[in-house]
Amino acid sequence: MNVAALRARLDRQLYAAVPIGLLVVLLIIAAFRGPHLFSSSGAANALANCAPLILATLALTAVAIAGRGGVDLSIGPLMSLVSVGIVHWLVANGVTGPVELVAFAIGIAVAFEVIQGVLVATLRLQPIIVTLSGFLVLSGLALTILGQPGGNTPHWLASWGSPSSVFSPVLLVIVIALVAWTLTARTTMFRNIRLMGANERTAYASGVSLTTTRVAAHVIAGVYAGLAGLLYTALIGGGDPTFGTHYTLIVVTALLLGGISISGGRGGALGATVGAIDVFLISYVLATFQFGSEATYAVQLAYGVVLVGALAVGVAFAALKARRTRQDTVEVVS
Amino acid sequence: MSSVDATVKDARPDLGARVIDFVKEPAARSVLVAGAVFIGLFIVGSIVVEGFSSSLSIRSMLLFASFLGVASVGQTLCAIAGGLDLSIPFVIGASNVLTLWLISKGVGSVLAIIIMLVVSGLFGALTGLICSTQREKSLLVSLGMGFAALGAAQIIVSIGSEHAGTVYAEVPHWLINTTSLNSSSFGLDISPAVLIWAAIAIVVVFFLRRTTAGRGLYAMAGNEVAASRVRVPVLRIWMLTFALSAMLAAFAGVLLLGFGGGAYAEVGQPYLFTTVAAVVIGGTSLLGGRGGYGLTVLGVAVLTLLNTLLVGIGLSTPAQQAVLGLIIVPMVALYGREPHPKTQI
Repeated sequence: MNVAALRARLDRQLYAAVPIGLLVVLLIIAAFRGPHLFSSSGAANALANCAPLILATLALTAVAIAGRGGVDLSIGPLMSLVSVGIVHWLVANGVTGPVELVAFAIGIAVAFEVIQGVLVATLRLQPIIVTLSGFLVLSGLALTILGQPGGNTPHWLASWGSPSSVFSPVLLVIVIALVAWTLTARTTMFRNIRLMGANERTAYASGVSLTTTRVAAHVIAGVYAGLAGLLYTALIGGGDPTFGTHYTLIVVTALLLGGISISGGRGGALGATVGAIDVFLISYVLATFQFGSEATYAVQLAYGVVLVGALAVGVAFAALKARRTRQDTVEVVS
Repeated sequence: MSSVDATVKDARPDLGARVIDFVKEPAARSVLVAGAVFIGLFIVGSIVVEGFSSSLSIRSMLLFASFLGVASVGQTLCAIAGGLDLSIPFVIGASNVLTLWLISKGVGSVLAIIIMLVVSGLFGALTGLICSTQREKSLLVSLGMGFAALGAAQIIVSIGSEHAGTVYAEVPHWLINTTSLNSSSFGLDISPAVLIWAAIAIVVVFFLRRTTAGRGLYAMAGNEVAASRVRVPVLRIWMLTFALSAMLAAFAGVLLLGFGGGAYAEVGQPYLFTTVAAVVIGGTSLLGGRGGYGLTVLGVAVLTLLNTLLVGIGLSTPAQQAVLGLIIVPMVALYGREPHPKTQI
C-alpha cells in the first residue's frame, strides 16, 4: 500500500480523533483513580457493561449514516421490548435455547426497524418523527407486556451478564459484530447508504434505490439493536420495560461523542465503539470519586460537559482543516 | 378593451381553484387537518366520556395545555430555525428545583423567579452561541447543555442538605393559586396560568410575524448564507432563539412548581417529546423556515384533548403513550412530507 492510500485511509478515520483522545485521557484517569478496571474481573465487568452500549451505538450509527438527521430515538425502548419479550414470552414459556433467543431478539428488532425504514422512505417523513413515534409506541408496549422489571433469564445468559474473565461469550459477540460491520461496510449496499446519507439527490441521480437503501440501513440497525437488547437482558438478569427511556439518551450521547455526524454520510464502527467506551468510562471514573448521594447528578453533569466540550473541539478541528484546505466555494445551506 | 378584460378575468382563478390552491399549501393543510382532528376528538370525547365537555374538564384541559404551551414556545422557535431544543425538559426540572431552593434560602419569591429567568436566558444564549456554528448540531448541543444544567442544579441543591437532588420547602401561596384549577382571574373562572399562556402566545405570534428578529429567524432558516448577506444578524438570532426557549422552559418549570406544590427534578421529563409532538402535529416543519406558534397552539390543543380522551376511556399511561405514538405518523404524513429528491434536481 502506498503512502497516499494510507493517508487517505487515515483521513477517513480522522473523525474519531476527538473520541480517541478522550478515551486516552479517561483511561489515564481511570488508572490512577480506579486501577481495578485493569484487573481481570474489573475488565470483565467493564466489558459486560460496555457491550450493549457498543452494539446499540452501532445500530444508531447505521441510521445516522443514512442521513436526513436520522437519530433513532426508539433504540432504548426497542431494547426494552427485546428484554421484556425474552423474559415474558420465551423464558416464561420454557424456551431458553441460545439459538431461539438470539433469533427472537434479532428478528423482532429487525421487523420493527424495517417498519420504521419503510415509513421514512416511502412516506418521506423526517426520521426523527418516525423514531419519536416508535419511542412512544414501544415504551408503551413494553410496559403493557410487563408492568415492572422482573422475570428470569436462563443460566447461560445470566453468566454472560457477569463474566469471570474478559474472554467470555460477550467478547465473542462484540468481535463478531465488529467484524461483520467491517465486512458490511465494504459492500456496495453500504456505500450506497453512505452516498444517500451524504447527498440524497446525488444518490438518486446515480440510480440508487432510495427506498431499498434506507430500509437496508434500518435492517443493519435492527440486527445490532436486537443483540444490544439481548446483552442488556443478560446484564440486568431479567426483563425491564422502563430502562429504555433513559438509555436512548445515553446511546445518543455515545453516538455523538463518537464523532458520528447525524447529518449523514460520515461515521463508522471505530467512532461508535470508542464513543460507547468513553461514555462508560465517564461514569466509571466519576464513580471512583466519593460523591455520595450526588453521584448520579455528577455523572449527568459530566455527560453534558463532555458532550458539549467534544463538540466544541470537533468544530475547532473542522475550522482548522477548512482553513488548511482553503475552499473557495461558498457553502450554500439548502 | 373587451379582450383585455377577458384576459384579466381568465388570469384570476375562480373560487374553487383558489380553495384548491389554498389546500395545497402545507401550512393551510396542517391547519385544516389538525383543526378537523381537534373537532373530531372533541365530539368523540363528549359522546364517549362523561363530563368531557363540562366546565371543570375544560378548565383542567386548559390548565394542562398552558404548561405544555409555554414549554413548546422554545421548541417552535428552534424548529423554525431548523433545529431542536432537547434541553427543555432538563431546564424545566432545573428551574423547578432551583426556584424553590432560592425561596428556601430566603430570597423573595418574585425575585427568585426573575433570577431563574435571567440565569436560564444566559444559559440559552450560550447554547445558541455553540449551536450557531452548525445547525444540525443543535440536537446534541442542547442535549448536552440540558444534561449539564440539570446535573448542576441537583448538585447545587444537594450541597449542605440531607435530601439529595430535591428541595423540601413551602411553595408560596400566590404561586399555587396562579396555577390552581379552582382559582379565578379578573372574575373569570379561568386559572391565571391560562391567561399568562394566552398573553405569551400573543407576544410570540407578534414577535414572529412583525419584528425584524422574528422575520430574520425565517430568513435564516431558508438560507443562512443569503440571510447573512442581507444583514440578518444570524448569530444574534440563534442566541436569542435559544435564550427565549430556555427562559420559557424555566417559566414552565416555575408554573409546574406551583401546580405540583413541591419541587421535583424529573418534572420536565414528559416534555422532552411532547413539545416536539405539539410542534409537529401543529404543522411546523422540523426542517425549518415554515410554521409558527399559532400552529403549535393547535398542536397543543389536539394533544391535550387526545390525552384527556384516552384517560377518559380508561387507558393506562403506557397505552396512552403507545396510542399517541401511533397517531403522530399518520397526522404528519398528511402534511409534513418532504419533497421527493427527483423534484429537487
